[in-house]
Amino acid sequence: MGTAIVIEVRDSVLDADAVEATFDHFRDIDARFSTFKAESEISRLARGELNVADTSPDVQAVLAMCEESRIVSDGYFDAWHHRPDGALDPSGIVKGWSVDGACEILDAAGMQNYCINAGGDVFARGDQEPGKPWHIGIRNPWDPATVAAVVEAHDLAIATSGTYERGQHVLVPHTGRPPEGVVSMTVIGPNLARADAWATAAFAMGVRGVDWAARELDGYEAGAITSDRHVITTVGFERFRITP
Amino acid sequence: MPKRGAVALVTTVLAVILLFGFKTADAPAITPGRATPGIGGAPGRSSPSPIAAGATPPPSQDLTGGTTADPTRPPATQAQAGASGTFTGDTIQTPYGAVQIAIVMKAGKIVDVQALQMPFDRRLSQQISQQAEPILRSQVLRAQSANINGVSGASYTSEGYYESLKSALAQVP
Repeated sequence: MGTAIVIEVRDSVLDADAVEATFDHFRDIDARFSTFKAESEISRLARGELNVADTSPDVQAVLAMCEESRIVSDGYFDAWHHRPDGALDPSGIVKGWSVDGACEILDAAGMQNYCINAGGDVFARGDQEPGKPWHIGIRNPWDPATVAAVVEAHDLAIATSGTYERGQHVLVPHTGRPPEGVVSMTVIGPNLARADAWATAAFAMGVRGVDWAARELDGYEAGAITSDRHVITTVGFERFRITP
Repeated sequence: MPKRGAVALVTTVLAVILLFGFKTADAPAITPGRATPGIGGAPGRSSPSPIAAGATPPPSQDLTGGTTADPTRPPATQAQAGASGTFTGDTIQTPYGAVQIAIVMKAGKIVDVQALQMPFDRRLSQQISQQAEPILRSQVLRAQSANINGVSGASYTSEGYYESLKSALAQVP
């Protein structure tokens, strides 16, 4: 299985080399972090063939971020306990983290207006056209042809965790069961790796994940789609919502 | 500053595809006995029906009023001005079966994406076919909407789908 990564650039001049470099970056991360590839560092780590100390600095950085996220989220983000087989799966942070890295490449090349969508985790830099921020939809879990909400994004990361994405993808680490009451959780903020982790954590908490985000997260806002088909958001999230 | 900048139109779109092989193969999506979200079904929970008008009272906000991407809107980006017709992508062999995609262009924008072949021969393949194909289809169509640039919410993609889609796009004159 894979994730599609789409980069849309809206600058008047395109640095093709920089864009190509971002895809090299994604390929490199995929090779090292994929839990789907038997020879990736993460797979070898999960099988006990590799010690953390022997992994690349990037893998160590991601694992450190996973651990920090686990602590801050009171164990609701736990890269070791979201899967039924208990295998290491840092995917909840890697996708966002890889996009953050891609942004650094594009930023360094002078790109000012672009949008990267890595399998539903989005970072929107600048505007879609001068003075008009990017509009990012949040999928309606019951109908992929529609969106449940739209946020206005200018230098904003948007990450969504949900049951519909890959079956029951996220299990509550404490119980080993799927979260209750929510079908998707979206977190927005400045950094996509963080937003990714907080979306997974808040989703695992269920509906109260929105309250947790409002209380505990600085600079990040959350919006949930509940099992009874409503949208619940933090107050701050509403500032980003628009009616297209 | 660009090192080797190619002059582009004001709107430049790169829709390049890459497989990002994160774990799903033995994810609980295929665990027997667990509710599997199919299109139109309620994921995770036992809610029986898809959202239908009037099905849910709206104490706060009902998703029935969700925004539907309208493929008839003017495209935010124009692939090739004026191209019309159906363009059939290559048949891609995947571990799960053959995948073949066709796109329907009208006046330079994608108005439909059709899956001519999707694998159905194994249980995992059914997961891909039932979930991924319609989701991907809606993503492609939605990208044509002037009002929405992207969608957050994890997607489930198959290599063959994008490979075939790319080859279909490559045929657009």
